[in-house]
Amino acid sequence: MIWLSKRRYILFMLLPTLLVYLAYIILPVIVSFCYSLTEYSGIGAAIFVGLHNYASLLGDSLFWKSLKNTFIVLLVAFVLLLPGAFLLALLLNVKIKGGNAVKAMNFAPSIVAPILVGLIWVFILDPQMGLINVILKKIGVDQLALQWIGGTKLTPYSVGVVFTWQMIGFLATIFLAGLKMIPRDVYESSSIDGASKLQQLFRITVPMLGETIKINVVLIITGVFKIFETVLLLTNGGPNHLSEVMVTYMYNVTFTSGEYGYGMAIATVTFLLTMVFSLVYMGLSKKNIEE
Amino acid sequence: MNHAASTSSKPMTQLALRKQSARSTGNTGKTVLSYLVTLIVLLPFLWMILLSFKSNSDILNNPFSLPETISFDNYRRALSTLDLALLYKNTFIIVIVTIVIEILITFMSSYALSRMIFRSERLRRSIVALLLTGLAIPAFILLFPVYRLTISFGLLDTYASLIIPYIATSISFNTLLFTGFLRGFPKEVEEAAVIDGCGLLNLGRAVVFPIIMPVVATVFIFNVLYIWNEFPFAVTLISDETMTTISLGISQFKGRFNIDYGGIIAASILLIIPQLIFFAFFQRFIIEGMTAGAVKG
Amino acid sequence: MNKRLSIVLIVCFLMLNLAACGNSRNTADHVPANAGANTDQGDTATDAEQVTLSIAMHVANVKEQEPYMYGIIQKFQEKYPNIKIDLQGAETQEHVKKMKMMAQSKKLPDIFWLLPAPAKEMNQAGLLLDLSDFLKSNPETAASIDSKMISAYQDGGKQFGLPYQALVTGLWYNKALFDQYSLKVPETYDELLAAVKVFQENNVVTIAKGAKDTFSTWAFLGMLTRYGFFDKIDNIQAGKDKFDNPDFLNFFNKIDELRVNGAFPDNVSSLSYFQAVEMFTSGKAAMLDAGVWETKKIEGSPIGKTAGFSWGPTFTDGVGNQKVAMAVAAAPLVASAGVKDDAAKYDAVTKFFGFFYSQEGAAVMAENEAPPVVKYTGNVDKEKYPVYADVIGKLNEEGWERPAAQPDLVVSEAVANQLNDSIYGVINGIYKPEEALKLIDDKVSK
Repeated sequence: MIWLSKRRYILFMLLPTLLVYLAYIILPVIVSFCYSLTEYSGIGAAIFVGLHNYASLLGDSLFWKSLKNTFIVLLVAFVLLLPGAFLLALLLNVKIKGGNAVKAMNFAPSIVAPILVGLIWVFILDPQMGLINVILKKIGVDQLALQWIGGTKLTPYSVGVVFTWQMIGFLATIFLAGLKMIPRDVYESSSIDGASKLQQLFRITVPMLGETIKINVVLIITGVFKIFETVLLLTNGGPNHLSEVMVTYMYNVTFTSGEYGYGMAIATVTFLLTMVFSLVYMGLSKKNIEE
Repeated sequence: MNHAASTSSKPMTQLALRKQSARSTGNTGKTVLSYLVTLIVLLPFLWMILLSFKSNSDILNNPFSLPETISFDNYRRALSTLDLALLYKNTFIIVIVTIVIEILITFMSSYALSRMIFRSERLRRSIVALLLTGLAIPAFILLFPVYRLTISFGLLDTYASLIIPYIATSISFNTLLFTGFLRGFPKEVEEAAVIDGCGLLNLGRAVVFPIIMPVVATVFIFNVLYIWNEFPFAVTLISDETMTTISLGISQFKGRFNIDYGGIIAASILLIIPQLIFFAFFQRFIIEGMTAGAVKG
Repeated sequence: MNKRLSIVLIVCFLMLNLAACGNSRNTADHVPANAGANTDQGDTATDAEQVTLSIAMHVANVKEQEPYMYGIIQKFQEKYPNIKIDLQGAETQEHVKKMKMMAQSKKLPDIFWLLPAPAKEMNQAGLLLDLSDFLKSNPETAASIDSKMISAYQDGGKQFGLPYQALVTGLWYNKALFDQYSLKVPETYDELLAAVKVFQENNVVTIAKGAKDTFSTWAFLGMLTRYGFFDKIDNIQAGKDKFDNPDFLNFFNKIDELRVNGAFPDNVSSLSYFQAVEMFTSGKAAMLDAGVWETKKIEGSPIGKTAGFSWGPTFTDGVGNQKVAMAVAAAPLVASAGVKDDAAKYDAVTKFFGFFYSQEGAAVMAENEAPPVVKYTGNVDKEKYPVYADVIGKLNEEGWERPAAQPDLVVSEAVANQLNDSIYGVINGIYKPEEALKLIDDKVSK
């Protein structure tokens, strides 16, 4: 490949992407960061206040609450979503009747506008009129009919479940594409060597899906840190901000309260956290794979 | 582990793929399980369809009862409110232009970043990392500055005002997928082509692109759906009524203090169905692309 | 470390400068282009000069969601065929966000709806048209609008907006439910509390509310004015008094008392305002905290025949006049300062405001059962519109004082947001009354 790697070739290949990216992503992020150093309502002049917004962030209990809730959602996603999507992909990888239709249907939740996802799940999770509690009460286990949303504790877990539902088909499809790229003969030769199905799964499938798993983990991390509409529709961050996640809190501060500068400080921190998480993860997994 | 994969994957043939299909028929247990999982995933939708035939007050008061009479009022309202032809036309134009450009440019950059040899490995890694950071950026950070850019480029109320941000926000996801798959895929075929005297453009067009067809299909599908549902940019950058896209459709049913749930549900069903058909149709190309890649490779 | 930080700061400074430069250059580009277009038209025909006015509203579908505005625009275009109106809309929050962004780039629509707080800020930044001249040259229009509604949008010697609608809020009640349990429709807090206890025993919700939409606190904001809100707010804003004062605490304790006695729905924290309305119109709740924009819906609902509107309870430990009727200016209709540069446009804007506040405009409003901004002299058909007639009756009742505004509209967006959050915090049982008030003070001092 070396002779193809002339500097002007590389430049030619990279330039369009880099230009668009720098202008429309990096520049705006820097501008927003600058606003995070100001007190600004979105109208008139921004007053430079240095790191004041970041200092108030440290003492803002609602910020910490939203951070904690975001991590709860992340945890639920790792426990439910990642293995769930993998198992679903294994299932869908088998040729069955109507396989394409089945795949399309499982993917359906990720097609729906996120606003609707929230709307649909309100009718399922609502403690009084929601599907789950109505059924639980009908079969006589009232004590299990908890306040899935609107209470003080469970909302982030419920959001995690909704996120799982929303993303499972999406991630399974990526797993599926990865599975299809594993050459069949690897399995065949290992079968001849007498490996069981389970051994094949852990010795061939999982390791060879290394890159795919990585992609999905990064998508989960970045996806969770960007959750917005679901919470907006389920609880609007309430009661009294107790179920706020980072983006809803940022949105509330920025656009409902008109504290643009402070909102951008929250946004910057959210962004940095997501990045650190994803990069640390990718760094770690890289080491593992290369070893 | 990667090395094990690359050495053994070379002789991937159609024969192997045929065997796969032959071997895996007759999995009744798995078939039933698949159907069951699908049913659970679909349950909320089935219920949404049920709700779409109810009046607003029934939706909130008796969400579980079967509707006494099937009423198409919600659909009638949805159809009279939404100019579907216009919404589809606008979305279609934006989707096509965006996707063609973004796949081309991100494929080029990803190929360079995963196959070409940089003087400084550190530089290469930093560029990859930079391009991936976009995944972590919520759209709301970008809104104000992008609006400014749109105005200073004089693009307000043009298709380009949405196309450029959509290309920009897709770069990270596409880079993640393209570089990920390219790294997991053996380079022997390309190396052989290069030895045979294949130039850069031909290499990309005739050798690499077909091989990664499944990934291109994946990127294609996800980006179409992203644009289809994208709201924050669309609502900010489009004021002209004749430019509205599908994702703005639902907001037509919201007033200052009231929401037409029935209208929203019916409208979304009308908008989801074409999406589902689109997906059911195109996801086959992931598999077909695979076979095509194997033949040409 | 220090070095890096300073580099970042320098870059930021440059960016901000760059942004500012881009900005001024744009306006420069913008103005001559506009003026050029004008002279062209002026040359050809002075009389039938075509003008396009852009109007931006706070709903995506103006025809369905704000039929009143839509109707006026249609009638206006019929009357002035040479003026074309380019109507735009987005849902409220998006709309406000968009107006702020347009303001930064000096691309504001000619006429638009805006929330009072950002409108005031835009005015201070010199972005809005001063409508004083309009009022001076149209004394009849000026006289027909409630003077308090006009003064609500004055600041720095400028009339930066005029009321788009009257905000008329209070408690709706379902007389049938009160009759069923032989209760009197409450006029005082004690009567309300007594009713709550009876309804609670019979599993009826007394006041339907939805905490998910934190803005839905209207009746409670009205009650806050009965604890001397407008006597205190200037001192509070100046740092001489606090929200956490004995009078407001009395009121917040009352909210807590209502909660403890079961006045609100059990799942109030997960209900939306829309669901609360539905709860009331389906006869499951005795009262609803809302405003007269629900008139049409309530009239057409199963309880349409027995519904009525009240100003909410009065309090024995209240401060000042208890007979306060919350009928104030909702949100202003404002015009961009830029229209002044273009005589034809300015003329069209003046014509539009003139038409909007004329009796013709008021008639369109009455057809849509919207609360009147101007004194409407037409009649209301009591048979056909019983609920609307009741509302108009309440509005014309003697002896009720109108406050300057709704409390949340005279403070910053951040304080208003916290005020609503605090009221709902007590209703949800999450905040103790003192705690709820302290949270508002935190925002005021910020």
